[in-house]
Amino acid sequence: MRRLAKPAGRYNLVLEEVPIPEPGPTEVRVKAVRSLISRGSEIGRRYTRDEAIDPQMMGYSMSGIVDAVGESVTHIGVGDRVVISAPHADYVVRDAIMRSDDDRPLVYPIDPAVDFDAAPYWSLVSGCVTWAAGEEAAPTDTIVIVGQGLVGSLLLQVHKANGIRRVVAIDALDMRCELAGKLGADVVINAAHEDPVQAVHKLTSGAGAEIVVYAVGGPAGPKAFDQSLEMLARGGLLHLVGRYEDAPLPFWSHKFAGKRMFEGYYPRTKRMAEAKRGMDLLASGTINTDLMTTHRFAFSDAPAAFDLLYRRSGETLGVLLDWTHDET
Amino acid sequence: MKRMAKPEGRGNVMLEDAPIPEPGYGQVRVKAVRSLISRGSEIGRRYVMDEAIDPQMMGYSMAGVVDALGDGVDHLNLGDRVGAVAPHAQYVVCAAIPEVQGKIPEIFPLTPGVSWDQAPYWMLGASAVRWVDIAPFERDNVIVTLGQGLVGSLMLQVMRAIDAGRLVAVDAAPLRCELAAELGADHVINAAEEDPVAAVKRLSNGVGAELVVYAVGGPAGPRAFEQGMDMLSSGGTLHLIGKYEHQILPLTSDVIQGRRILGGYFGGQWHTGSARRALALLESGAIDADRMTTHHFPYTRAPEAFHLLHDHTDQTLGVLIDWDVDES
Repeated sequence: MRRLAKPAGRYNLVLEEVPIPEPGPTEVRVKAVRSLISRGSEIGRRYTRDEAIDPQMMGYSMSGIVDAVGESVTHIGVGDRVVISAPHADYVVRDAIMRSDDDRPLVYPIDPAVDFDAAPYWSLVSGCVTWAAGEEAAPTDTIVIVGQGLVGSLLLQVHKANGIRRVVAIDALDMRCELAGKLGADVVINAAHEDPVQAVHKLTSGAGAEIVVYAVGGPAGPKAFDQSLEMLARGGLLHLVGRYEDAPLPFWSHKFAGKRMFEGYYPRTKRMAEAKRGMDLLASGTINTDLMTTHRFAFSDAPAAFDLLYRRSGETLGVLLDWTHDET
Repeated sequence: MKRMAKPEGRGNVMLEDAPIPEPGYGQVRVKAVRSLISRGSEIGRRYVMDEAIDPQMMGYSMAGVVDALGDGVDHLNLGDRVGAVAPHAQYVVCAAIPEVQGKIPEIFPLTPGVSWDQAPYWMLGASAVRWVDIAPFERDNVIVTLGQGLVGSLMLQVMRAIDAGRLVAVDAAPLRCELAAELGADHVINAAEEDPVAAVKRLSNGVGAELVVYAVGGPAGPRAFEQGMDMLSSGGTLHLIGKYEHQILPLTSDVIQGRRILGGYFGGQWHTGSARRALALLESGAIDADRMTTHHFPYTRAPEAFHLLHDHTDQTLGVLIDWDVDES
């Protein structure tokens, strides 16, 4: 079978031939159908790095069909449609047994209403459900989401689904701003055309937003972090979701008085329930992945897909790899 | 009358003449007896600045006697001993009626058991009470207080009084380390002699501290902040209280993973209730203000007190200005 690998060297993405893995007693093996490239981590923490990346880290958002199960797995059978947090490869193997409610499931059945193109978003959607739950927002809070990449866009949709009345989306790319409007943002601010701090202060009578989600990361991160802190109300929460800045964040103590900040999954919540909610949101169409998917590539063209994501962030958002074609 | 002033120029503190102020509606005038110099803000945000400072900002921790009543004040009498949030001056005018319980009172009646030398600590004591109330911790947590200046020392004593957890104090000055041990720290780490991160890991079975109180600020702040983040346990909280670094704090999105930062008065400032408790702690000796006071200056030599605090951090902690001395 073939899988995506990144040996030493920046942008050095290759398809390599490896044996098909065998599932252990608590594992299942899945034949890939589609996988989603998560831009933030897969470009920022893998593609652009000099060092070789562990092939097991090369991706985590896939849909496929179970083709072998370990002897202890009773709730999933051969032929089941599942999503799986696993790297880009023809066949992948993951543990299917959950030990506690705090465990994040790595394999999850696909709802019949969800197709193989939408399903790979499940991993990020359920992550966003967890992130949003940790924010403990009130419906009347103003929530600003800074950055409308995959995570920012999904968080916007999750917050709207949660009944937050005013969700403000910020990005500096026209395509993402337009999409945010279509996906339910109450206010969209294009940071390339107006000062986002001023715009948020205007919306909130000068008080700032109760919750600001920093979903930028990468080279644009530090400036956006500073703006995020400035548009946050006293008593508010800065939720850090973006990463891979490769630079310190401009954290001034005087801009932080009376505010709070945490990263990602703090505090931990009910992961199994959130995994289900993620699937439900996809099944109901509340999360519109069709609008988010901008490109599809045959898996054999994966290096071109990564190159596109890296060089054309203004035109790309959801990029899917198709593992059902081009098998040689 | 005389008051402290800082016209333009770094370190340019002086006594100046000003008319004795008259109390308006809802105000009282207080004749000063003692005032405390709060090193962090009065040096970091006033003394070292080039620009002129508003005389009303020159200090905020005083004790004295009510000497004139404005209209509408019926709960205080002439001659009452009070604490005042007011600048260093022979006479000050303050609002006597806090509008609501949750608002900062500018005037607070002193209890008979609190001496003039202890009373000026009431306001920072009230802040310390509030900060400890805000900070999330459980009884058996490892709680590190970084910095044993006035604020760090007061917070340590407030936490000792409620047996908050296993209390660790960190400073780099021998005087402050010695004091911390006397005032109730379970462990004192001299950061000039040993790596505080390694020491905290050792004290916590490798887990790290559940709560780190950052009470450093100033030029030493960034390094201490970095150490504070590094000594936090997963899920731990850094409470950011120190200020006036005049540079960014070294935060990266990796370092905050699974951790949380609270800014100062997150959720609300100190109030009448905090002041009442601070006075009770001063009266009982749970806050040992006399032990914290390192110097007294007659008000005629007040500028010297500021120079001393700026030039000799390692030898100074509580520096009081005596206003009840003969002017001649």
